[in-house]
Amino acid sequence: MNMIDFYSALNQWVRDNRLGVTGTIVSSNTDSCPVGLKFLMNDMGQDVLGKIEAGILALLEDSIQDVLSIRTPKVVNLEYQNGLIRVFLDPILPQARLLILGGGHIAVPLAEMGRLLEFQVTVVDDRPSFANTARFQQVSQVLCQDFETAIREFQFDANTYIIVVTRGHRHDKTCLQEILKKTKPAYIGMIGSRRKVASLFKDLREDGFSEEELKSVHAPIGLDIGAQTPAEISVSIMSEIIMVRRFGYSSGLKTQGGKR
Amino acid sequence: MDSKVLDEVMHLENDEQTAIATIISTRGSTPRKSGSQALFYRDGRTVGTIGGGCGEAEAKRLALMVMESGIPIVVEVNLTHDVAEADGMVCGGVMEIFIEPLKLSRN
Repeated sequence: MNMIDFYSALNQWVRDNRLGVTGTIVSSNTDSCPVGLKFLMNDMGQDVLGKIEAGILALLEDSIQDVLSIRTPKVVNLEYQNGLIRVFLDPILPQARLLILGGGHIAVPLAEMGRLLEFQVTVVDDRPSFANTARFQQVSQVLCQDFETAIREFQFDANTYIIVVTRGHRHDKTCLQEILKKTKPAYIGMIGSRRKVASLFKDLREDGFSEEELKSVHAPIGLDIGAQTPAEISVSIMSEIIMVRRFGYSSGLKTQGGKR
Repeated sequence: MDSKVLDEVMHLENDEQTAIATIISTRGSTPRKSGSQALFYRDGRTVGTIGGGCGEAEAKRLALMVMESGIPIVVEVNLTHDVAEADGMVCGGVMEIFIEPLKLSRN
C-alpha cells in the first residue's frame, strides 16, 4: 500500500493548522477494508481523500465528533457487512501558539522553551534592536510592531497562550486592554509584582473591565518555585502554561495572591 | 499523531523500509498515552518514543519483523511484569500498539 498521498495530505493539513481526524484500520476480517488502510477526515467528518467506504464512515460519525471534542484518540469497534472492523481514530489538533509580548531578557529563554514544548512561537516588540531574528533564532515569527497593532492582527483562539512581558507598565496595560477585547485565549499571563499588578488592575477596572475579565489574567505570573534568573522565571511561567494546558487550571502565584 | 514522526516520514528516502508503532489504547499506568508514535528504521534508529524501556524495545523487535513480513500487527505490551514487580511494586499498565510497515514510493 503506497501511503505517499495520505502522508502528503496529512502533512499539508497539519501545516495549515486545520482540525481533523485520521483513521487507521487496525484489524479487520473483510477484504473491502484491509488492515493498515488510512484515511483523513475534516472536522465535519468528511473523507478528504475518498479512501473509505461511505457505509463505514457513516458508522464512525459520532465517534469522530467524540475524539474531536475530548481531544483524545480512541479505538472503535464496528460491525460492517458481516465483518468486524477495529478503527483507530486520532484527532489532528492545531498546534498551540505562544504569543510573547515584549522581547526583553525573559523573552529569550521563554521563546526557546516555548519551541522545546512544541509551541508555534511569535515574539513582538516595537524596538528593532529587540525584535529581530538574530536575537530570536528559532522562533516561527518575530514581529517588529507596536503592541496594539500586533495584538489586533493576531488571530486568537482556544489554542493561543499569551505572555505579557513588555519593558514597562504602560505597554503592559496597552497589551491587556487589547487582549481582553478579543476572543478568550487559553491563557493570559502578565509579569509583575503584586503591587504593580494591583495598580494596573485598578486602572483597568476604572476603564470598565469586569472582575471576570481581570480574573482571567494570570498575574503575578507563573508557579511558585522561587525563580530568580530570567531562565528560572521562564521555567516558572512555562510550568504554569503546561499546567493550564494539561489540567485546565493553575495553582500558580495568582491563586496564592502572590504570597507564599 | 506525533509531529516529529510525521516530519521524519516526509523526509524518508524513496523506498526506504521503516515501520511505525502507534499506541492505540492504554490501561493503567503507562509512560505515554494513546496517539504516541515511534518510527523505526532497519538499522535500529528510532524517531519519537512510545515510552522507552522494555515496552519500546519489544515494539522495536516486532517492528523489524513487520518490516520483513509487510503485514501490520496489533500487540499488547504488558508493563505489569516489568522489573519493578520483582521489587514488590506493581506500577505498570498495559498498552496496545499497532505496528505497520511503511515505505514511500515517489514517482
